[in-house]
Amino acid sequence: MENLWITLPALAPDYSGVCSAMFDLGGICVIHDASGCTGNYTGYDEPRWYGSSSKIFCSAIREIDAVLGRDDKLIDNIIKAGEELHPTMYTVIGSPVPMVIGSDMKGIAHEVESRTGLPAFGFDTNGLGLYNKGIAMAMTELIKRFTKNQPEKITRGINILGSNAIDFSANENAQDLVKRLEDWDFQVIGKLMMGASIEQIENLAKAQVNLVVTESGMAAAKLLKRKYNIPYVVGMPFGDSEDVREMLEAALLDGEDRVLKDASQDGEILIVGEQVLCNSIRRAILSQRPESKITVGSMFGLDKTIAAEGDKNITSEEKLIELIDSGNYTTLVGDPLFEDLLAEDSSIKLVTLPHVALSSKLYWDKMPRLLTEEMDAFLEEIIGKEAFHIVA
Amino acid sequence: MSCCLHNNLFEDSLHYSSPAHGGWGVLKMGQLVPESYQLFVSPAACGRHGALAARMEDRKNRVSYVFLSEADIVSGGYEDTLIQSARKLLAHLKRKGRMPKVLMIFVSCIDDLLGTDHDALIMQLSEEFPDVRFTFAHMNPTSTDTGVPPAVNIQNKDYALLDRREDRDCGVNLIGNLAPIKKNSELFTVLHEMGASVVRHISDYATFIGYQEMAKSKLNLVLAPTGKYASTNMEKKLGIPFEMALTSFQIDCIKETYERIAKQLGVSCPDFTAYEEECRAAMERAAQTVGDMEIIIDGETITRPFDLAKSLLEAGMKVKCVYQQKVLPSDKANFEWVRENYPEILVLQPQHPRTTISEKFGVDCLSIGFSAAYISGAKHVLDIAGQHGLYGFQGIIDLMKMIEEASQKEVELKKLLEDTVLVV
Repeated sequence: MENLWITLPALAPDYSGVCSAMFDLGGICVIHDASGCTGNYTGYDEPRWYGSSSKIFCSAIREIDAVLGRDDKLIDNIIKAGEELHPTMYTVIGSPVPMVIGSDMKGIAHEVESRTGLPAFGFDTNGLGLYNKGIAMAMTELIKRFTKNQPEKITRGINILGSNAIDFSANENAQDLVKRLEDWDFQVIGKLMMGASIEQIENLAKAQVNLVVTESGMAAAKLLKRKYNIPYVVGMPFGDSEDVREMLEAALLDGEDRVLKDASQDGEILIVGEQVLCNSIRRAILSQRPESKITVGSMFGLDKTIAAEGDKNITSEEKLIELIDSGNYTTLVGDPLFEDLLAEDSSIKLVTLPHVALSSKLYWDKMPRLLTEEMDAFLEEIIGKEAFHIVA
Repeated sequence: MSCCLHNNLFEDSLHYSSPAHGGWGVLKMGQLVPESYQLFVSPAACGRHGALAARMEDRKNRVSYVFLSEADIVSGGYEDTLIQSARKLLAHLKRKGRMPKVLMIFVSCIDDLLGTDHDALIMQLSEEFPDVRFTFAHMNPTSTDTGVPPAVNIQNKDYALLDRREDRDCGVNLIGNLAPIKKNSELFTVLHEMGASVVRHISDYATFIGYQEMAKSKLNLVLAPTGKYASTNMEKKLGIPFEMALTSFQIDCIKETYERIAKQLGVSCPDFTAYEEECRAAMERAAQTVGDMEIIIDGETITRPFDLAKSLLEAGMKVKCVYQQKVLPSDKANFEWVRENYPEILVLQPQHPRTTISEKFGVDCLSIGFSAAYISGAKHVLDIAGQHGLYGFQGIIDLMKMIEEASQKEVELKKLLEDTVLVV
């Protein structure tokens, strides 16, 4: 019974993904819920919330509003807030209750836009989907709305697609990535969605290449490819691997898309987490120890473009336990909460990489800086010091 | 500085949720029932914060989740899913030797809109598992403005698990307070002097059978407003009358409460002169120590913040602001007193959107509560997550001591919040 989760908490939901994506843009975001959904986001899915001035609110819908379909009350409250807070735009975000009563989030946004004259977005999220889909939805809508056709490209202009605080946490990972690309002589145009601005989104089409760093950036990458013919590379430059850099250079030359992926092989290491990050960890290990047998799994859906042969779509806690107990792996790499799933007599070694989408604030301050020696230490822990230093 | 006192007091608006907003949450309140297990049946998102909070406090091994799909909700397969999940969960718990005495099935907001037949489900499960008590509970903040909001409803569900007893005794139950009252409170001495054989609170019990002893008591004292509905129903079902005995920080109110309790028990009220004098001395000391430092009171921490404001003001302390989203009926008279006598005191809604742009006006103030400290920027913070445990004259004395200590040191609020588990 896949929908019974006995041990693990629920994963970060779609509406949190939308909010996370919109965090930097100066708009008013409203989760149309009673309180708990907003509490999920502000308390458990947003490591940047403390001290921030982001204007993300709860509609505080009540039974009587739901029964009477009081969209007018919501719209009035949004506009009233806007008059005091002067946002750049508005975003209205669904949750389970609007799903059940059939609220038209896009229609509500349309009404807000027509009354305020500011851009407004509506998202039919419902708390059943996951954060990565919410981020993807937000990014694609922002691009459709704001990105302008550009007569000229910027030489070695690049967009980062899919950086987000639910996968990267709130340490310096996003800034480290920008610096790495600048060290490679790229000019970073769009930082979607950590450190983003509306102006950046307007200028995305100036880029010659896109770097997709999590699965949540794939939909945007495909949209930018289709509309502006910008090729994309999918991967994170972990460890000493030069693969991502080489793929970016090649994409600049031939305009072809490239994905960092290697076929899964059972027998040794199971990496479970965000799909692109897991693929990139796998590549970093293989570059150190090519004989490694590594399988990648995702609990957030498998994007077919990114997935390699044999990668696992882990749709439930039950399926993850089956994999852990299968006898096919000696090392499990993933969130610290996976420890709760290991049998008392389990001989599997757990190497932890916190993921806000699962363990939230329990470990979000333990997220390593992925592009520093902290990542080397993490890789070393997986494959052992000796193997790591043979090549390094 | 915007102030809702100066425009539309307690206005309806979007809600801001500060990093310091939140409290126990209904899941933890349900887990007060000993030997109970919770099964949440809801869209996945609804269970996330409760599960994580439970994990942070080592309570996660008493709650599991059934994540509904859109098909479950739309097709009406919800009830079948629930039954199957309960069976599987109980089989798992039996294998682990952790079979609960109570399975509390939590549903979320959407259940109120779907019309699930809870009675039929309980009947079916009870037939299959005769040794387990089943009950439905609600995490439905859409009901916040109704007569039975979530925090009220869950306490009612907790106490509805008590069965009527004929072997009654002279015990007194404390209802409504989630955490136990500190044992140094005179409440226990006073109740014993009034003839109470034992003072009972839900947190006293490790077993479900032991918990049933609360049904033997002769009186319920309602210490927090959220316990009144449960006590009304306990009177009907168990025959236990109740007396409102809300936590107050005003000496006269405490005396008046004890007098009513004595009357209810049919005994004379003890003399409180010594307690009163000790209280007044503590308040005087605190006023001297705090001096000109202004105080900000947090309605998320203090259930009736205007009651406390009145007490502090009468003791000569300076109150700058009270954060309260909406005034409780039981605090209305105090609110009106504050407005009439100290109209300069700010009354602000902590969840109003303008909170996000308001200046940190309270940097040099002392905040009683985390949420007000975060919003106002107060450097002096009384480290108290809820007023839990403070009661009676001793509650005042303890609070004054805490105020004195807080006024003498600055704290790192972020660190305090990291160690505090809050659920919205």
